[in-house]
Amino acid sequence: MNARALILTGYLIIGLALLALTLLSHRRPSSVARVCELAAGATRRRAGRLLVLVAWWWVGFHVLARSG
Amino acid sequence: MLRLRNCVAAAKPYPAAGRVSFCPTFPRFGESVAPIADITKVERCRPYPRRVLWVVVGVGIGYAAVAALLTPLTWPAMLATVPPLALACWVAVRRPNDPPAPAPTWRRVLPWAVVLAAGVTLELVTLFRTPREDYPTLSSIVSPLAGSQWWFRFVGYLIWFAVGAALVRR
Repeated sequence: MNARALILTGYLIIGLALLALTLLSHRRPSSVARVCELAAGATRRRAGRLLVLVAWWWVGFHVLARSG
Repeated sequence: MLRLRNCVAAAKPYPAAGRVSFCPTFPRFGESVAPIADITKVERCRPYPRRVLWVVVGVGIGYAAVAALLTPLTWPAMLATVPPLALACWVAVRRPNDPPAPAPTWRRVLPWAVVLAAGVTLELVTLFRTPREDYPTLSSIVSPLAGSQWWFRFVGYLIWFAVGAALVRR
């Protein structure tokens, strides 16, 4: 297995893990925090809200405007 | 005369908005109680009228359609991402801080932290390795589609707007 295949497999595993955590958080909320709880915790204060928005903007900027 | 001022404690329609006023004025001795019809009126503090919501959705779809037309890696395409950020920051700054809510425990956050840390590590490892064909980053994976397909950028903008709206409305 070359490096490219290994890295793509890694991304796939991480994506599947995120999906599994999302599903698990709804089935067993006592074990895994839900996405909305994480977002609420991060955006509770104004500074956190701004930091999260800057991260959100960077993702959009990077994928939508700087990919080509 | 009892004035409950349309406050019904059990009917808080928008708890996240934090704008429903709870202002019970307790009856003094000898005062009569307001008719049921009065006290069941709920002060519905919808954050915005439904019509405004549809207008915002329409403007967002139109903006996404136009912004997706712009060629990536050009100044117009890069500048097109700034107004949504400015609008989101304006909304986020205007919104008052929420009352402290119980934060999720570390035990419940840990699985997310582990997976996200693994993702960030993988992205950083590939970012500083070359050639890009052998060490693809997430952006280099989506680049062929994002660079050439309007529909991909359009859908990307819509998803991006939806996530941003969810973050500032939270």
